[in-house]
Amino acid sequence: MTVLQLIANAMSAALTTGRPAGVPEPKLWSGVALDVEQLPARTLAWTEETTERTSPTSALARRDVTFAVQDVVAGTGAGGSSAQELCEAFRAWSIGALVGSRYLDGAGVPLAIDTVELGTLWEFEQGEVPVCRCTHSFKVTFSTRANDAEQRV
Amino acid sequence: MALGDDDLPGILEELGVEVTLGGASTHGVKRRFTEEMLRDSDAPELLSRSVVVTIKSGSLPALSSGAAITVDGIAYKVKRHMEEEHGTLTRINCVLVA
Repeated sequence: MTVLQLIANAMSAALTTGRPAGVPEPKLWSGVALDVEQLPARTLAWTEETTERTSPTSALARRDVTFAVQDVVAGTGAGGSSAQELCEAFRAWSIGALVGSRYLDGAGVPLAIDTVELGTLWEFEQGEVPVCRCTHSFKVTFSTRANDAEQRV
Repeated sequence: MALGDDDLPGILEELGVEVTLGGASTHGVKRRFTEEMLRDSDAPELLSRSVVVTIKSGSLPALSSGAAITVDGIAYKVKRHMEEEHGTLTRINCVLVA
């Protein structure tokens, strides 16, 4: 398994453990369209990676991977919160769960060097109920062997 | 014999549901259908429902965006409304918001 996949699994666990009531369990992106009846829903996906060798002859590759935590929430406001306000509460909790995380492996060794928050995209739709989609991006930095994405260094 | 505008109230009364807004009532044809939303490139990311009710234009004088409207016993707000069919009919998009 690649170090990237291990980190994705660890992020999913970090977004699952101790989450407040109402925050949906994250699912790794599957390509299946959601139905409004399934909301709220949260997906996790990696979207972009840049790789840099520390020198032309180095055996190390430093990798910066963007992960998107995407929440889709429907809300009429009947409970006192609009769809966007519900989304914002989920987003606030994700920041605390992920920023600065290094994602320990089973032996307690960090998989990543750091996790930083990049930004958020808000989108809206309105059918029978208003829907808000919040795409929250984080950059995770880690290193592997330059010629082996499964070998952590 | 062709149907004319004068036939509309009878047709809507027969086929439609009760629509109430601002103390006025009329009948309209309600459609609830699945719509693709939040599209990314070619793939719909969300399938949601939309509600549209079609009434005779002018039959609800207080019709405006954001107004409270009851369609077949369900309370909605008017998302938007548009005249169509040369102004004879008005299509109202409804949304469930508190």
